[in-house]
Amino acid sequence: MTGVATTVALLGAFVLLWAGLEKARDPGAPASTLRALGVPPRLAALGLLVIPAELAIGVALVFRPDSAWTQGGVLVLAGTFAFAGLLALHRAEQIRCACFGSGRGGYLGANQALALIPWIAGVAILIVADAGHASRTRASALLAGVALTMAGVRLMPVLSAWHEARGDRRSAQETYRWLHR
Amino acid sequence: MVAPMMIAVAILALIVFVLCGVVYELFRDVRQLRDAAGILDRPLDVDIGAVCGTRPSSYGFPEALDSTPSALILFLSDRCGTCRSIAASLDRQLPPMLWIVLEARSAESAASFISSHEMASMSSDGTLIVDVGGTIAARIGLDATPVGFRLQDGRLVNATTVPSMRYLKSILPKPITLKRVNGVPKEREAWQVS
Repeated sequence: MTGVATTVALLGAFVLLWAGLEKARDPGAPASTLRALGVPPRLAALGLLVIPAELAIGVALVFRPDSAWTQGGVLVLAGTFAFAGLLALHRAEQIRCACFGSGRGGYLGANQALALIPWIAGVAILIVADAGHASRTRASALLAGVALTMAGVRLMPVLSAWHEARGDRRSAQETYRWLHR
Repeated sequence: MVAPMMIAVAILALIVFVLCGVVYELFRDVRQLRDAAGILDRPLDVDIGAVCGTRPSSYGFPEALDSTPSALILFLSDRCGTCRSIAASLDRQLPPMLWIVLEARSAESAASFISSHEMASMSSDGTLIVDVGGTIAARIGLDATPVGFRLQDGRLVNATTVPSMRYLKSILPKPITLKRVNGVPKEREAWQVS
């Protein structure tokens, strides 16, 4: 497994695992996006399947980036998102994107359609650079690395919000102390 | 044995990732509640217009301020609750580079404010200026308190409202401290050689 192929596979795994876990926090969000796109409610419930699909393909990118199933899965997911983006562009109203969970304020549209290009490029690199597959031990270590990086990146806004909340608490405390004098 | 351990680390890290997301949501939630309750610090910039770039002494401040490289002049009033809260949180000795102007309705109300907040020592060292009747504030055109005026190179540069002591501490100019250097810096070495 070459360095370029490993980097591409890990980057893809990072994005898919992040998106999958964010959606898992609000599992109803993909279904509501599909309903907004005009998919009948019964079929829209299938939107829930996106979560395990993203997580499974994310893990597969670390363990078996060379597998046709993994590469095909990446293309199917990216194609689905691009199709959803194009559908949203053709509708009059703006549709909230649940790509990285419902907490983000983005809308479905050109971004999802354009994201297909780097996904296709990534899969092409995996094929051309002959991704191969790492030993189980190495792949597990790589997965741990991806997960730790995700936790680290997520920790930054938490630390900042913590600092902010501490400041808010201290200034409120200051006022209460004076009020009770 | 290594692979299962690594998988366990990966799963734990992913759980940490999710939990961090939960904690972040909680922090946001608390902030929204504070916002709704109106107990968030909301400092606002005050447009000081023509006052910008002028000397403090022209408004009745001590002339010593005209040659101060960096300072903050805080306007407090004996009639405002936030000012009382800030005054109550001040130590007897003011932080360096902080000057206070106390606007008071009368000399008696100023004396009462000073004694109730143990500010007498500030008054004696000149860092507390009592502005009976709001003369200085009227010259500047200020009708709100608490407001902090930043002073740079002896000139008033900008002003902000000061909603809490915590915010006041965050905007105070930092005194310059001397730092011991290990070894001789290159520039000095060259100078010594020449």
